[in-house]
Amino acid sequence: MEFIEAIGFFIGGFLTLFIFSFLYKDNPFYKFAEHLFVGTSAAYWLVYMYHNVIIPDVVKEFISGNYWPVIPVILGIFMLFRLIPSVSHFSRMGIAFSVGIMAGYNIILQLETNIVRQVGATIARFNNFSLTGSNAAFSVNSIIILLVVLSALVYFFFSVEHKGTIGGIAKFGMWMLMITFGASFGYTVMARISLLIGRVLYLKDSWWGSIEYLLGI
Amino acid sequence: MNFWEKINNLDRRIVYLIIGLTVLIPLLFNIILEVEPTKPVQDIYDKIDSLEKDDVVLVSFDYAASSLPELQPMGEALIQHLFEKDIKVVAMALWPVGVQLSDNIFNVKSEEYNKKYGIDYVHLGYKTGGMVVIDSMGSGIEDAFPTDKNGNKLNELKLMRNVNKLDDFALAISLSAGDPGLRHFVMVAHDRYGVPVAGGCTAVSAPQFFAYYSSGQMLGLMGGLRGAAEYESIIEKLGTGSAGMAAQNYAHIMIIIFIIVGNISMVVLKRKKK
Amino acid sequence: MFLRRQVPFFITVVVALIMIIAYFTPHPTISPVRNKLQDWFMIIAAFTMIVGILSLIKVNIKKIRTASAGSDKIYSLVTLSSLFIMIFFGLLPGAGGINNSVFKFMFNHVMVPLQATMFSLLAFYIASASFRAFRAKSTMATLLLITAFIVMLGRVPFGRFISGPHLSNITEWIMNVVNMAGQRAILIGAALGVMATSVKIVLGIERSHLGGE
Repeated sequence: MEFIEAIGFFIGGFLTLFIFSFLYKDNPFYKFAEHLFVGTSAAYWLVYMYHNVIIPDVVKEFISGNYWPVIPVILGIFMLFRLIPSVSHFSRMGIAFSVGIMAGYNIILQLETNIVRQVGATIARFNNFSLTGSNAAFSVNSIIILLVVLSALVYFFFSVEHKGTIGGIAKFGMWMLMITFGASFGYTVMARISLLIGRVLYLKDSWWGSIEYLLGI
Repeated sequence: MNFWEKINNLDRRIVYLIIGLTVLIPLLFNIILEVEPTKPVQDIYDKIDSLEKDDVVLVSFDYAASSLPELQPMGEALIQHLFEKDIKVVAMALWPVGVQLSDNIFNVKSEEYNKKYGIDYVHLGYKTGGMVVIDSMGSGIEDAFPTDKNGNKLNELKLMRNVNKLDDFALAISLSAGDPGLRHFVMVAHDRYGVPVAGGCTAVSAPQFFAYYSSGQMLGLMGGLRGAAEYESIIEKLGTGSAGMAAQNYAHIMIIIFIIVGNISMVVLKRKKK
Repeated sequence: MFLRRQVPFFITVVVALIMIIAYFTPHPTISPVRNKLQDWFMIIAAFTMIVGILSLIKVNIKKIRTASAGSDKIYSLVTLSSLFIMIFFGLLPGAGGINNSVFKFMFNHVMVPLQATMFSLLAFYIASASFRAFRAKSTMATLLLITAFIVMLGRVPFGRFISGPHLSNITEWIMNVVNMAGQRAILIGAALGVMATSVKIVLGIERSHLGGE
């Protein structure tokens, strides 16, 4: 470990503990760390915007004689007018541009990726359908998948009242969605615990290591 | 107040302390638990293993420090595997923090495997725009990234002379904490340009990516810290992912105990009220 | 009124139509236009971020000038000083830009620990919620919790310890069959919704992004 690195881990460890102190109760150390985080995050984003977007895509293009980027720069500056109430309506042009691009993409890409290919994959599972032999388990799973997809889609279809047969299918769909959400919950717990594990490993290895280094232990 | 009333009204800080200790103690004892790899993770390994020596792989680091413990170990294991196999790597990021976090990986691994910047790996840096960036790379990488993250023109970098468009990559991997990220690589890189896509994601978003894995739109998936641990066990280089599994193990048991105890106290107090 | 409504709507429609048409044809008339629009989107998206940062500066300067409590002023000063110090080192000409050592130090040893720790607090909150809030008050909630238990145990070595490969196999089946199918239905439903909204935007039925009804 080098000296500067040790100082860094030493500071980082204390900042970590400042955040953890919130678990006991809100306090000035936590507030200080929180505001420090906000300031450094915003600075990081701005510096990266400048070096990775503005310089190569605007400044260098202007220098090489390509002046087309003046249009998005103007629209971008109009976006900044959002902060000035009297001229904030100019920002709608930049927003309209962005929304138009995303709408254009979404109409096609959502259809292809999330509808056609997903429906296709559900149906394609029946290509080698056989309830006997080596394909039996796969085929049974294919039936289950089809039933779950259809019933869950019926559950989400609120234009028809969920009564009678439709109600029964929707109810089955809801049961299957409970299993889906249960699985999601299990994974969410796993994710949250992992975040804490990362911090504890940092305190145990990097922070404690820096203390040992700085105190010469 | 009887026992179950006390349990029901337990100060949340005691719960915090219990879960904190549950995570801390296994880590203090350095218990490392290997995990059995699952098929979605094995598929990524098999794909990378099947690549030729000078194939180029795109790795996108689409996460911030909030997902560091889950995705950074995946990044380390992947880059290690790619460098071991002498596969060229082009890195990029759709989240700005991903650039520096991935730099930390490349600084270590490039030295370990004696890899040269510009020849064995290149970092394109960050660009705003999410799926628009990926689509722009489809017509030409230079359209989206005129320079690398340090301002060098792409045609000055030896590695980039053979890689001009998105479909020149043998594989695109996104380590993704949300949007923009893996979903957009599936939508654009795979579904539009036919580039094989694999990914790593946080455990929170992993369940939804099973639909893409099952349909073949993704060839493999690593989900959360467990996914990282599985990849580490396949490449036989245990790291932070595997180190965390012991704590994960006990923490899950503790969460289940909390849910059961909480529900028992609810039932007991409900009966008492009746 | 023309500038406020018609011009932005015209921009939205033209841009969306170009993106849709260009998806289906690499025609030399439309492809360069699409490429230009993509480049412009990336630049405008950068300015969107800058709006947020300027807003942050504006709010904190206001707090320093008007806040009654001294502590609020101090915290705003902390935000602004860390912001400007890091920007200074990140933008200092000839000092390495994003590779500037002070900038990288602040990133690695201030920003990363803070951001990572903020989110790690969620582990404690989920533990507290598990104890206090996750109640099996109905059969469906019980099914959800049992599934969660199976998945939580199946994904850690303890599952293998108590049941051999069975819990793991059940977990894999739940994830790859039932969960996958449920997620697929959610994906399809959400995609239909996004598509419908996008079509409404292009047709001018949806104008909330223009500040209208």
